[in-house]
Amino acid sequence: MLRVENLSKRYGDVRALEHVSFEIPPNSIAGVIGPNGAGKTTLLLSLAGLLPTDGGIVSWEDRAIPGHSRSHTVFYVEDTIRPHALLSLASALRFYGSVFQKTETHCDYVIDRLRLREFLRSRVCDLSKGTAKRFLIAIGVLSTQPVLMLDEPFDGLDLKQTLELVPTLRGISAEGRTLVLSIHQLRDAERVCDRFILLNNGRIAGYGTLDGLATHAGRPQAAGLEEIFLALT
Amino acid sequence: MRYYTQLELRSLLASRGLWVLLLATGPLVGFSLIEAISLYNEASRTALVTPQMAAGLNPFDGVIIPTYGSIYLTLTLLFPFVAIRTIAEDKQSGALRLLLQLPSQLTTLLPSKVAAVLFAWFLVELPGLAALLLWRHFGGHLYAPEILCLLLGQFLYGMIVMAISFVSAAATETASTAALLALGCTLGSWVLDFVATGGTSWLAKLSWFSLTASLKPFEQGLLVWKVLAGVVLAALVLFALTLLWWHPGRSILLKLGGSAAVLMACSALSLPLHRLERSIDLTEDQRHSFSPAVRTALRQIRELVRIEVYLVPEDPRFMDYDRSILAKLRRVLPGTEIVNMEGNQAAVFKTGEDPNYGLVVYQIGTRRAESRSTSPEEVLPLLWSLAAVPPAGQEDQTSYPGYPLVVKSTSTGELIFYVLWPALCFAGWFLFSRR
Repeated sequence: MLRVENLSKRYGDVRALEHVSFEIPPNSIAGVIGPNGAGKTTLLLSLAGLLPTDGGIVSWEDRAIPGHSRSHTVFYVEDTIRPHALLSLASALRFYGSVFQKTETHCDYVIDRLRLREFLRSRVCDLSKGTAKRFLIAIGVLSTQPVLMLDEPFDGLDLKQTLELVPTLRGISAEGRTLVLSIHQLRDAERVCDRFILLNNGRIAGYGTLDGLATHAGRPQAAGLEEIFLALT
Repeated sequence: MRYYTQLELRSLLASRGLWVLLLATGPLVGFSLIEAISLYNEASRTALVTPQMAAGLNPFDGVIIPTYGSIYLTLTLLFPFVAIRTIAEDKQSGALRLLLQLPSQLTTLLPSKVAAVLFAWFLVELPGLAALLLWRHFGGHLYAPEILCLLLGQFLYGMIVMAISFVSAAATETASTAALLALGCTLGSWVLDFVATGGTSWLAKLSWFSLTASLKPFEQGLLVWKVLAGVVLAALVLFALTLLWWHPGRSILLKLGGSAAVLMACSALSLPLHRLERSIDLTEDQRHSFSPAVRTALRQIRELVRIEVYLVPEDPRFMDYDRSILAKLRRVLPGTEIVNMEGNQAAVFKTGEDPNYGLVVYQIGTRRAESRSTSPEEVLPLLWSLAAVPPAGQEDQTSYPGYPLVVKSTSTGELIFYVLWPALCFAGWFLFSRR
């Protein structure tokens, strides 16, 4: 269980996160949902220990994990980054496969699963937005930490690629990892997530399963995420 | 560590910055070498006619140091950009946040980056090594200890420039700000050294810590342990500060507190360095040392030697006196107390109006003597007499022969540095940018 208690972060006078608390059961896929500027990226960076916070506790399996050792538990892949821009996709993926001690067979499996084989000789800086996104997801898939956090995993992907990615993410969850996905497209979130953390202006508007959130919002069980989100924010 | 180093080397070789640096270094070194050889040729022609002048022809000073001056220039002005890139690029591309979450920590990442930038330093030194080989090919003389001392100085200079660049890149958000900060340090210390030359003011004392001052003894063939240890300590401190400021997940208070602790530890460690007075004269002509017999005689002086000099530092007499006596004396008797009584005065106001000007007062124990001579032939007997020790005996002096050489054609050098080297740089960039 990933437990977050009273996580707060300010940028000067702006309160980016205010006493954020929630729990995510193991092996689940949780979506952090919120409009632009809600604090999704700040929340994920803070959880990963890559941003100093003003307070709060993050625990995994009932043990508090300080920021400096968060990387043993959590692996976070940011949105819109182009790491190792001048290297070929093959070199970059080979590096991550090596440091995470993955076999060549496993690396090949990830490359094929994310349809990256034909781009292996291309430099990362030359990749299209969608291919670059799949490259970043591949790095996340190769990682070994029990919690994988992806920022906007569907951003830049077309519908077919999005639909192909959903079973891949479910497969990662089924293998025993907990996924935390930051998504601003509610439709995409409904497709893949089994739990939701609704974030608005740095505060938790609600968290839990879709049914639980519907009850909390006083909406019928058949209500969609969009309706629930609007009711709670 | 191996995977990280491979990644860094691949990124470095794929970057244009490295190839631009190398492209600039080769022709610069070539130009310096050819110009130095041309001047050495002129001096050698005279020396070949008048053999007494040959002893003044030292290829280390006449050819090698001017050639390596261009590498010093590229290490100061261009090398920081390559070093900064290795850290700033990761920050800007988002790679840093991924790398920080890998099983290894920053303490693994930093050595891999140091290894990659040291490889870049080695590539920058290649034209210099080519110049040495070419000089040998032309029939020139090289003295291995002098060359090794120079290369050690170049290595330490590259290391300290790298460390400054790393900490600048780690502490700032963008590569351009880091470049401003790093160049501010390298060029600032250059300017400081130039402004404070010869003075004894606080500025001059500060200039002892400049980067240029740290390289100077090595260029003079002098291995000064204090400088060597000081540069290594400074580089380690800067690397420690890099580790502190690099991680984006640390609060500013933690970074400031850690920096204060590192600087305090550095101060504590640097205190014993002041006592490290020993140095080794690695020059072939032993220009920084008295002859062995003089050294033996001087070492018999057990009491404290105090010398008061009434000469401004810019006075040529003082420079001559400092070079031929004081510097050598400091090496034999490290405890010698030397006080420049005119240190803070401007030469233009002092000469002519002060009756004491030009005087040197020697004191050993309670005995004092005065002299206006700056020649070792007069000063040394005065010291022995004052200390009541037997003077140095006669010795067979094998004088430095000098190595005059007239190089008939430098066209091989022009071909190597102006054609072959740039072609190799373009080929290297083309090859590695497509991997």
